[in-house]
Amino acid sequence: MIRRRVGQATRLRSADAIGEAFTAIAARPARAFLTSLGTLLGVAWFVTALGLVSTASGQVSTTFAGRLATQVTVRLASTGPSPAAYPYPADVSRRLEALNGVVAAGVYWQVKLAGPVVVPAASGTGGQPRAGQPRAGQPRAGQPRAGQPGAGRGAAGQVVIAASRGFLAAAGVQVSQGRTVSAWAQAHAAQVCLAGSAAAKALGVTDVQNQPVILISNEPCVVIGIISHAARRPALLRSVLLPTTTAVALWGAPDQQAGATPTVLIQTRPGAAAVVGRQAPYAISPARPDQFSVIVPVRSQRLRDQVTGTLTSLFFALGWVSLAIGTLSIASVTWLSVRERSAEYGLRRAVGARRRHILAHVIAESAILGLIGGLAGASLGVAAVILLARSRQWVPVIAPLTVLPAPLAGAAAGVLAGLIPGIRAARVQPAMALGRAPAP
Amino acid sequence: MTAEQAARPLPRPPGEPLIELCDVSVRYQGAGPAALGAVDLTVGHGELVTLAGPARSGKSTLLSVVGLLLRPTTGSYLLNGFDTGALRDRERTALRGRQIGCVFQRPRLLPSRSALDNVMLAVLYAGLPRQRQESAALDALDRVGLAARRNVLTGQLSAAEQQRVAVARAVAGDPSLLLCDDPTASLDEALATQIIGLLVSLHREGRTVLIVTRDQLAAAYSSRSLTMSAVSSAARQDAVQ
Repeated sequence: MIRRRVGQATRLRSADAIGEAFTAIAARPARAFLTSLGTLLGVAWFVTALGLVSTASGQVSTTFAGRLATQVTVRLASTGPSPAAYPYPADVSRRLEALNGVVAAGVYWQVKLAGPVVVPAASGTGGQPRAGQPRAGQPRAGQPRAGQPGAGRGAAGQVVIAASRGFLAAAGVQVSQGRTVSAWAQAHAAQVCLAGSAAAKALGVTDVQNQPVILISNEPCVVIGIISHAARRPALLRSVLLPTTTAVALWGAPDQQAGATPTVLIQTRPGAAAVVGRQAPYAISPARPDQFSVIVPVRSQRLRDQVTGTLTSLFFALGWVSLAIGTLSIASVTWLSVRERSAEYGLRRAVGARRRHILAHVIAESAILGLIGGLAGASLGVAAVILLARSRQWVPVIAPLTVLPAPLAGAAAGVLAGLIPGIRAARVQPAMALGRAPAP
Repeated sequence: MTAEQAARPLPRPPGEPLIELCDVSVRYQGAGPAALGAVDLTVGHGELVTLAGPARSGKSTLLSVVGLLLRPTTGSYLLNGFDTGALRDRERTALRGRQIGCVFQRPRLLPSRSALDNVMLAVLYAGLPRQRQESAALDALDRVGLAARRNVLTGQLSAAEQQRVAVARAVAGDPSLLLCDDPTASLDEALATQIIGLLVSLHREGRTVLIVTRDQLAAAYSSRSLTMSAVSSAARQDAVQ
C-alpha cells in the first residue's frame, strides 16, 4: 500500500544500461584494452588450440587412412549354419568391384599340400641347381618323377597360395621380372605360378626368361614372374602364387581340404572401408549374406578419436586456465575501478538508481569488456590457426562450433568477473554522492 | 500510471506539512560527535525556505537526511506523511529519483561525460525512452542557459558552468521537492541572481524548495528564513559556547 502511494519504483532500460557501459568504456579505451587483454588471450588460446587439434587430426586421419583403413577381408563365418560348398561365385571379383569405393577384390586361399615345393632334380646338378639354369622345354615337357620329393632342392616354409587376379591387384602385388597372371591363364587353369622374391631366392629361381618349372606337390608349374613388391600383403614375398582355377583343377575346391579358408580381400578407396564392409556380403551372395564374417582392420575414426582425445583434453585444460586468468584480470580491474568510482555510484543512487541498477551497470561493463576480448581473441585464434597450418602446409580445419561461442565465452567470463565488484558497488550508499559515508 | 503522474503525487494544498523532522540527529561514527543534533523542522507544501548557519553546523547533513541520502541515527522523518524510516530502499530510491532534486555543495558531475549526459542521469532511472530523456535534459540545460554547451565534457567547463549543470540535473527530473546546498557559492553575482531567479520560478510553479544559502536575494523571496540554531539544539549549544 505504502509502495503504491510513495510512487512507482525507478527503472533502468537495458538499452540505457548497455549505452552507459559503452560510454564508460569509450571514455577510457586504454584501460578497457588492458582489462580485456586477459580474456583476449584466453579465448585466443582456446580457439587456436581447438583449431590446431582439428587441423592436426585431419592430418592424422589421412595418414592412417592410406595405410590401414582401405582393406576389408571377407571369409566364411566359423560359426553358424554349415557353409555352402564353395561360397564364392566365379565372378566374385566383378561383383565386388562394381561396388562404389572398391578398387580391387579377389579370392585367395592357402593351399594345403601333401608334398613340398621343389625345383625338379633333373634340372639341378647334384642337388645344387644353379639359378636361371638354361632349360628348354614347355611347362609340361619335363614331367618330374613322382615320389621323389626330396630329389630337388627342398625349400621349407614356402606357402602356396591360390590367388585370383583380383586378389593380386588388391594386395598390391608388383612383378619385377616376367609377367603377372593373365586373364587367359586364370580362365584356362594354366599351370603357371608367381614366386615371391624371398621364395624365388630360396628355390634358386632368379631368372624367369627361360620359363623355369617348379614342382608343387609333384605338379609342375612354370614360374612366369617374380614378385618384388606386395604393398599390402608383404608375406606374399615368401609364397608361391598360382591361379585359383589352377589350384581347383589340380587339388580340388578349397572346401574339400581341411584348414583351407577361401578369403576375399577387398581394396577400397580411403574412407570407404566401413561402407564396403557392410555391402560386401550382399554383393557376394545376396541369398545368404549372413554366412560371411567381415573384418575391417582398423577403424581410423576410432584411432583419430584416441589421438585427438588426449590432445583435446590437454589443450582444454590450458584453455580453461587461461580463461580463468582472463576472468581474474577483469575482476581485479573492475574491483579497483569500483573503488575509484564509488562517488559516481553514490551519485547514481542519489538520482534514483536502485542497487540492482548499479549491479547491472558494473556487470554490463565487464561483460562488454569480456565480449570485446572474446571477439578479438577468436579472430586472433583463427588467424593463428591459419598461419600455423600454412607454415606446415596443412589444411586449416576450424569447426564453427568452436569459434562462434568464443565471444560468448568471453562475455560469460566478463559477467562472472563483474559479479563480486558489482555487489560491492551496489552497496555504496547514496550519501557517497557527497563524499561521505554514514556510520556502518 | 505515467511517469508524469508518478512525478506529482503530492497534490496537497499549500500549508500542509511536507517535511516533518522530529528530534533528528546523525552520527557518522557510532560514538563520535553528532554531525547533526536534534533537529525539529517542518516545511509545508509549496514553501520556499532558506537555511543559514555557520560552517560545520550540520546544514549539509540536514539536507542529506531530507533528501533521503542518509538515514538519521535517531528521530523520525515524515515526508508527505509517510514515515521514511519504515520505507524500504526501493521506495526511498523511488522518492529520490522521482520526487526530490538535489544540488550538492560541489557540482558532483562525471567529468568525462558531456553536460547533456550528466543532466540525463537525473532521468536515466525514470525508464523513459531515450528521446524523452534527451528532451527533458535539454530543457533543463536551456533553463540554466547552457543548451549551447551541451556536448562539452563537464571537466572542461568552468566552475560556474559546472554548478549550473548541477542545477540543471536537479531540475531535469521535474521533482516536487528541490534541495539546494549553497548553489550560488561559486558563482558571480549575475549568475547567482540568475540561479536564484530560476529556483524562485520553480518555486512559483508549485514546488517546495529548501535552500541552504546566505544569499540575501533568496532570503528575500523565501517564505521563511531559518538558521541552524533555530532548528537544531546542538547548533544552539554550539552557538552558546
